[in-house]
Amino acid sequence: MIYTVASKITHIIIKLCVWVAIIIFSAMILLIAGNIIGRTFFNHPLTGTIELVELLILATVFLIVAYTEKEKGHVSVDILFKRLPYRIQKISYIVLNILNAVFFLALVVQGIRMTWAYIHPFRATDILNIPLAPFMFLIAFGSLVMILAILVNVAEPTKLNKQQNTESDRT
Amino acid sequence: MSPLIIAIIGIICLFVLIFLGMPIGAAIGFIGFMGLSTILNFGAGIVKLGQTAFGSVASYLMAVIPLFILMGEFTFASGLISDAYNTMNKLFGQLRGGLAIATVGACAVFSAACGSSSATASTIAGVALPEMKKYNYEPGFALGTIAAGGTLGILIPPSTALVLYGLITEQSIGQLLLAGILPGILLSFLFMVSIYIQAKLNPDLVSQHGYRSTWKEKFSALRGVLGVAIIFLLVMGGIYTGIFTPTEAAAVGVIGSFIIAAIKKRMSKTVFINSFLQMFRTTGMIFVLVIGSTIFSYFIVASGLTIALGDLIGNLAVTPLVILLSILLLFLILGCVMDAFSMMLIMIPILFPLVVGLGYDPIWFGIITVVTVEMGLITPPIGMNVFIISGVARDVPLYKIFRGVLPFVLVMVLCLGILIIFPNIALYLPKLMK
Repeated sequence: MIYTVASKITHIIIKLCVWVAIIIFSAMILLIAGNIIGRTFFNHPLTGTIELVELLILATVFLIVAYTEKEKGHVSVDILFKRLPYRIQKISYIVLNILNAVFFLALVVQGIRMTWAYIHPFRATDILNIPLAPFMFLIAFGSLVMILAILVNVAEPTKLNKQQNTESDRT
Repeated sequence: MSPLIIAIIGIICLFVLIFLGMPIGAAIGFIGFMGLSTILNFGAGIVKLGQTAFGSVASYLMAVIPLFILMGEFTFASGLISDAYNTMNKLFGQLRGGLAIATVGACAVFSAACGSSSATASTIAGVALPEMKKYNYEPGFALGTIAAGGTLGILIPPSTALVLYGLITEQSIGQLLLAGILPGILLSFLFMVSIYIQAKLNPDLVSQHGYRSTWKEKFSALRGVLGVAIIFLLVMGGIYTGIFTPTEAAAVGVIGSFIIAAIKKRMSKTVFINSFLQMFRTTGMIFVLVIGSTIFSYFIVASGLTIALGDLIGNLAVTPLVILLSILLLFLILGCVMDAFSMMLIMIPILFPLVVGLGYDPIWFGIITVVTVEMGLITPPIGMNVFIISGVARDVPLYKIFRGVLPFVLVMVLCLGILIIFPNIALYLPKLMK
């Protein structure tokens, strides 16, 4: 019951993040194109394109990182794993996922600390004066959703049987 | 405990975690973070992790990666691969082994608009395999050709592997992409020649009757590669002439491939969203790897391992070529058990300073590295392209595909040898750009 609710909530959050990321990324493409057109045809590039693209790519990445986890897109190698006894597999699977979550937990903690540090004193980008704190918060938020996705994957009852799409990612 | 010992323990732990099945990006990041926290202190480690997450992702150049991936997705959706295959079939179909030669040609053409090796292999399999089956090509040979042809995806620009190499080594991405063109053409040509020779030596591999077409048909078939040619010229021409930065060229490529797919009436709302989702899936994986490997490389640098390794190898009584070949052998072995991006992101920060210290050109080394990584994609036990192809043709045993791939691995070794003896094949175009 708890698993079902947690899983549903996590998947809704991930879905929302993905939709926002599609909009952000599309806007980024149009921004770059607009900058080229402005520069080439009107001798007037869009001011601050580079710093805006930098922030938009950051936002996109941290919004979609949990989607990759949900889709089992993070590459792993299971040569050794497959040869372990089932019980050891289970323990190792849980421990490795905890370590995975710990890594992202460190990002959550530091993301929050950076958000605070960029509010007091207020810090913004050089050209467009865009506040940096929301983007620092996105690092923490994206990592937190990633932890939720990891926990949902670990708690999934049949997870171990269909574990990991080993090495199946595009290169 | 000395930092050097911590680094060695860290590397051992990293490989243990990876082979136990921990996602590679998180494993590198976790070890890098823990190692740095041990050498410096926890506070400094976590601050560096946060800075890395921001600094390595919020980069104008990094936007090239998802843009090139999306461009490949739109190109894939537009069905340009089947057009390219039909063109190549009409051009080479009458030769002995012509369908296999056409397959490699189509892979090379498709690679010019798609930086993904597995996308190239899986897409071409759907088009070329039924044709080769129809003409009674030996299944292992046919599938081996497709798996090997797919590897061209990460050498011929736009190549995500070369972009990634450029980002971690701080080399010009434009020059790296240009450097991939001639080696890509060379490797495609060598693949084609090897198919012809194999077909001559063993006539049972291929059909005796190929696809015959008139000269008029051949010329009119060239229209099939027009779409890819436009995208390639937009992207690479823009970078070469300096009109676009690599990021801009990639964005222009995305818009170009979107327009082509729309003109061909193959772009729908579902295709558009699915292309984004596929791109997000790969992008998320690559960026976690990038964050992880960046913090890991800080750990390695802080430990002094690269300097110690440089001193150690500098004192060895061997020539730089022997060291280079040993590094390539290490890449090949790791490439057999790891995916290309992970292997590059772990090993390049450690070995790149050493190679440059030996006097080798960093752009050239990038090309050599990618060709070696390509070999890993088709060698057992984890030849990723072979597994992808095997999924398409489940009736053919895996060992038969690996047997079919073997001659192509030897061709890649030959290509590597040629590039080592004649480095200007890779460096000619980047030098013109300078």
